[in-house]
Amino acid sequence: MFKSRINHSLLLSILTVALTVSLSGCGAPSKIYAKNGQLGVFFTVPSGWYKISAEDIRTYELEGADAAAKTKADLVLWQEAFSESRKTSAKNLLQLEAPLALTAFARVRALTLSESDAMSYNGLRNLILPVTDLISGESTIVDDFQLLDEQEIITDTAQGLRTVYSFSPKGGEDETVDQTALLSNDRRSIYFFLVRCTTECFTESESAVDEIVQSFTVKGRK
Amino acid sequence: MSTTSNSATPAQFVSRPRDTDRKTRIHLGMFDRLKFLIAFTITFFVLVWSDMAGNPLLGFNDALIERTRSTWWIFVLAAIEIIRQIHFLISEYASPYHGFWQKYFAFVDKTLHRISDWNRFRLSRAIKWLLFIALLAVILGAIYDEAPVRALFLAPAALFAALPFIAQLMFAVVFILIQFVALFWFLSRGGIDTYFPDDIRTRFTDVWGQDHVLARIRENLMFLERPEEIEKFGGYVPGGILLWGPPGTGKTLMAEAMAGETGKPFVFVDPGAFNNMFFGIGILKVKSLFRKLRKLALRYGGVVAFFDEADALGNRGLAPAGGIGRYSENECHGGNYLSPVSANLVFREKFMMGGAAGGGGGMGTLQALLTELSGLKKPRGFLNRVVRRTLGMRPKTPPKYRILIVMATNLPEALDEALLRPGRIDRMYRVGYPSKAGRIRTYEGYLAKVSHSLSPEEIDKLATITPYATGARIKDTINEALIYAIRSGRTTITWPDVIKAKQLKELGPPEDVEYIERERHAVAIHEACHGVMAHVVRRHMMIDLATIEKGSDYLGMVASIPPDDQFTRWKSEYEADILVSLASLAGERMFFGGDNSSGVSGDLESATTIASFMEGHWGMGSTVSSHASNKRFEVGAPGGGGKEKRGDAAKEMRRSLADRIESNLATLLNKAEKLLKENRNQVLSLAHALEVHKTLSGEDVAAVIDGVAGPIVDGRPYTKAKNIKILEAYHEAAVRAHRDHNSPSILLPELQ
Repeated sequence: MFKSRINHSLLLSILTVALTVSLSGCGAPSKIYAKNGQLGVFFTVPSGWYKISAEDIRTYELEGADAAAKTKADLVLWQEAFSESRKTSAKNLLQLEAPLALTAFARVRALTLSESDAMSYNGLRNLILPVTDLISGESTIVDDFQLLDEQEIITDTAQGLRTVYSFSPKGGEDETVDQTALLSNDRRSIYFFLVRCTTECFTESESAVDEIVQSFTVKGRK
Repeated sequence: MSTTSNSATPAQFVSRPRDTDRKTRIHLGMFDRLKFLIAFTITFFVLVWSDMAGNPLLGFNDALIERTRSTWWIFVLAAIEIIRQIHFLISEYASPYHGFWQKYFAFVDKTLHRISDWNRFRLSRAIKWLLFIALLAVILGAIYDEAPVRALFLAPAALFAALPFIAQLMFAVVFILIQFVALFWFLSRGGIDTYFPDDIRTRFTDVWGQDHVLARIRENLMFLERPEEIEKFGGYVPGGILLWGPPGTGKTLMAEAMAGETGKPFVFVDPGAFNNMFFGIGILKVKSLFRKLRKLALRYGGVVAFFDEADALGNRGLAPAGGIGRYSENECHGGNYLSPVSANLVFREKFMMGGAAGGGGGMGTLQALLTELSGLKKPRGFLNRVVRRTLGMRPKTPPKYRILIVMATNLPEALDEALLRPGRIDRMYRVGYPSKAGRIRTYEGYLAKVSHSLSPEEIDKLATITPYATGARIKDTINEALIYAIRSGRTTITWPDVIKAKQLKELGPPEDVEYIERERHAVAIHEACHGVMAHVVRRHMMIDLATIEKGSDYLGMVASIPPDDQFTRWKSEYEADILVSLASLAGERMFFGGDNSSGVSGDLESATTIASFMEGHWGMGSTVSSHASNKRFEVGAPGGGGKEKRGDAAKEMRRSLADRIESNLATLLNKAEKLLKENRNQVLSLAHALEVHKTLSGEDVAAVIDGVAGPIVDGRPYTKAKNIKILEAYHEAAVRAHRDHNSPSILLPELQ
């Protein structure tokens, strides 16, 4: 009845391919891919993590802030945050107390001219906490500060430091932070990536943290 | 297996059933079945690729999954397409299913067919384009990481950004091309001159003796200048003129006069303009010429283009058509009354015998010219044809280009048949030798430029004795006469100057050779026989001059000219011509006791030729059939056989052609001898006059023969009996000297 077998076997194979492709759509991707193509920033977090919207972060940051802070916030080019827990909010992300679940936060921020002039490895290291002063003991804004690891990172388009440290905020649980801060070669922007949790949870998921931090890639502006 | 079954029942051709007879759907080709699915698949994977290219962290698997989620609609489309194809597949094999659809969904087709075919085509084309643009937008959107529609607008920007690079590439290409383009451009220049009104001062009044042609040309120019005169009545301006005729008859002068007279630009095309070294240059030249002509025609309302020596354009080896005998001289040829088929047959045969082809610019130049000549009504221009069509507008109808093409040639046979068809060359004028009136006008024209003492009668006579003089010849003769006058220390041309100039032009300079006396007398007798015979029997020609001065290719001659412009010739005239030719042989034999010189060979040749034409071609003999066509069909001439007994007339006809010619010539030779016997005294008289004066004008020849006073020679002494005796005695002495090869005992006598 069939005029040509080849015809229909080919048709069948095409159908199979189409079906496979469409079925593969039913499976979930292994990771969540966060990126900003324009700025050339990429990172991944394990699938199943929850996103904290950039809008929420900005809103929280500007609550009761003065004009100078607002100007500073406007320099943020892109930010994206994910947390293992749905409960983690923008507040948890930004306050000194450790979030209860592993949380990743990426931010790209433009530098003003004076900031650009002043920026150094120290500056990069001290973006959230005055780490340099804490090491030397000049600052005591947190207790039990410990520098766990620090290494220089140099890519084609940026360079900076990956700093791991732990501390106890006053009246809070022990916390560990894995912080990557890179200054673009043109000194126009900084790429900042933070993975943090209580020291307990951080230690538990050390390999996951490493994978997340490793995924942070800066290709630079297009 | 299959081979045995094949050999048992050979494969039969099965005709395709009509659409209405089909029970199932027509099988779709593989590509048609899959093309949409392939398009979707390609689109999908391009998107996946773009995802991966845009994110260094993304693996193929995850990219596949992410993309599938974001562009789910492509799978919906694919599914619809698959369902459609399954539907088609079932329709192709299951006739009831197909029948059901045909029956219940025929209304869809009917509805669709209510739209006109053209609109349906446009609709489907628009849909296809939209689909293509949509897919492109999606792909570009993925590449630029933008909304698809926005990406569509970004693409031109990207193209713009890439322009410097493209320009660089283009420069390289142009750099290579420019060498050829420039070379060809330079090669395709030249050979074409444009004159504007008042550049040229020649006027029609400067062209003499061609009034009938000029009248026609004036008409052409009038229509060119005032096209509405003919266009308002539904006609059109004739576009082409061919001037053909012998060299020197004023074709180019006429063209110059046209340039001077017309108020339109005049483009002069060099004969060599289309000769080219590289293939295509000629074509480029033709094209650029006509671009120029069209431009001029539009700007000035008309233009005249003159192709001098148009035979240089060549032909493609085909026979020129347009009537037989068009270029033949003065014969009533069958071409004019035969049916076209017969005429063509006659003509083609004739042409094959002659055979002539080729030449000219070559390599497509002629074809390009032909196309341009008849292609003036096509829409032209990039803007007109391409842009307007793209915008859905019809190209504008071209304006009326009023281009008058004038070609001149003296080899009309070398022109291509297609070039001469109406529409390309509408009018063909023969610019022949000027008529007597024309010659008089021309002589008057050139004489008016110099100082002369010629009376109107003399000018009339001059025109008469120079029957085939062209304008150029007349100009040259007058100039030569002026040189004679100046050499003689005068500034005014006199009658003898003109006659000397004419003789110099016609006969060349005489060689300063003195005959020994007995030979001088023999030559004089020879020429005198011609002269007397011509004077006695020939009425259609008059003697122009008789001479025994040796020229470059003759010992002596009697030259005759027709007294009037006559275009038909008669049997009696040809017989007279033969008598004049044969007079030399008859005379030599008569006067030299049966001896004759080899000097008669030329005379015999012309006599035989004329006799042959009379017998074989002109129906002036005993048979009717034309030897020209007999020869062509190789049937042989009538005669040669005829063993059966018939009457005398039939017997005469059956003799071979050569026999009949010989017999005719013998009869005429006898007649010539008889006439010379009757005019023996006149022959001796004329021979004496020739020996004395070497060269005699026609009037003097007549005076000697008739025994009257001529302009230079007095013929009256020749009437006296005693003088005739003296002449006879001198002749006797000369004959003796001829026989003994010594000097005659009597010197050339002087007569009182």
